[in-house]
Amino acid sequence: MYGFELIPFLRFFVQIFAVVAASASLWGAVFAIKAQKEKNTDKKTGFYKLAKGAMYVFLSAGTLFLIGWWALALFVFPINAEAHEGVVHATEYPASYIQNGFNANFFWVSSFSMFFVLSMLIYLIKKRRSPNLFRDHAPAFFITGFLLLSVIICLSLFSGKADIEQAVLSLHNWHSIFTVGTVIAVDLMYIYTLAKPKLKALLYPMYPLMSIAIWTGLGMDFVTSIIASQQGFPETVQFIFNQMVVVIIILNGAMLSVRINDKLIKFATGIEDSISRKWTAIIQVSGSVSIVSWITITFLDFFDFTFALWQFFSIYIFVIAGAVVANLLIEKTAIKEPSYS
Amino acid sequence: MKLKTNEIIFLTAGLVMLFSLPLLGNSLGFGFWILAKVLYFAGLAYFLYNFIFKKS
Repeated sequence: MYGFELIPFLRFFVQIFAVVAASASLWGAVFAIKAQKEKNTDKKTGFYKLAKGAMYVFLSAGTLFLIGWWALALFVFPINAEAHEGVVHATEYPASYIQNGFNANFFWVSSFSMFFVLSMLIYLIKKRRSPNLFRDHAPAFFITGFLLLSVIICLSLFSGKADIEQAVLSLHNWHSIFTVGTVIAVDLMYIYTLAKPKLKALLYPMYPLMSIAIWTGLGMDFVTSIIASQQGFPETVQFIFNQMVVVIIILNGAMLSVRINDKLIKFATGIEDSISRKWTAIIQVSGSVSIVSWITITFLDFFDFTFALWQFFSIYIFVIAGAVVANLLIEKTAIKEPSYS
Repeated sequence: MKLKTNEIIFLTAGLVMLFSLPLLGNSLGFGFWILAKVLYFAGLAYFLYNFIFKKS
């Protein structure tokens, strides 16, 4: 109905969990490295707690990614025993590219699965005898996870050749770690620190760096779209809607990355005592617009919908309203039981 | 409300891109679409410059 299909829907979820896990590993590595370099004991502990928060996101998203990927690989895109033949003779896009991606990723997802399971087992077995296990190995753990997931994400659509088309496909997928992945990971970290003022004071000053990652990721997407535009633009309502959402992301991001970040940093570091109701509402709406917009353009990558423009916008606005309500509920629940760690 | 320089650049990029959308079928629209991207990269470069060199 209207171009909705189950398999692309499942692939979208696999992709989202992969980029969120990759992004959580990226930011987990940043927090862990900052913790190792920090001399102030309180801050050092705080950064390790943020790294642990990122690890929870990584483990949850990584588990869901692995379940989804193996389910798709076993039941929908069975790994081709003669994978190389399939790769070399791939001519059609996108169906064969998707299958090629599963074939090419078999080795990498198997490696990631082993890394993931073995790391967890070692951690569970040794954590009582080695209390500093996480602190000592967190950067290496996160960086390995990030590199493996980067390869998997880059190969998720595989043409079978190392050419400009493959570079565009890989960059188009890889940028999602910095954009939608970072937006979701940042939101989850925001929720994780809601009732933890000391962690907020460490996390919020890092928002400008995260904004740079998001802006740079969007820049990578623009590079791929400029290259792809040489073949002309698709004359579809979905394409126009997609571009409008990108415009909304830029306009909303301009405010988020400058004004809202400033406000949050001043509040978290004690320069301002409180955030006014007006600014709280702006932050909630802007944050919801950001996460819904990024998920929307990622979601649309997997479908060719036949909606009219007003239908696209109605659904989009409805989902944003839902995200605002969810945000309010989460904040109320989280702040009920404050923890000052 | 006084706008900061990188806000102005990003807002302009967004508005130019919005303006280009109804014209995308012809070269004028494509020109504006590319201009929007150029402005975006200028905004990103300015943002990075500020972050790296004027952090304090």
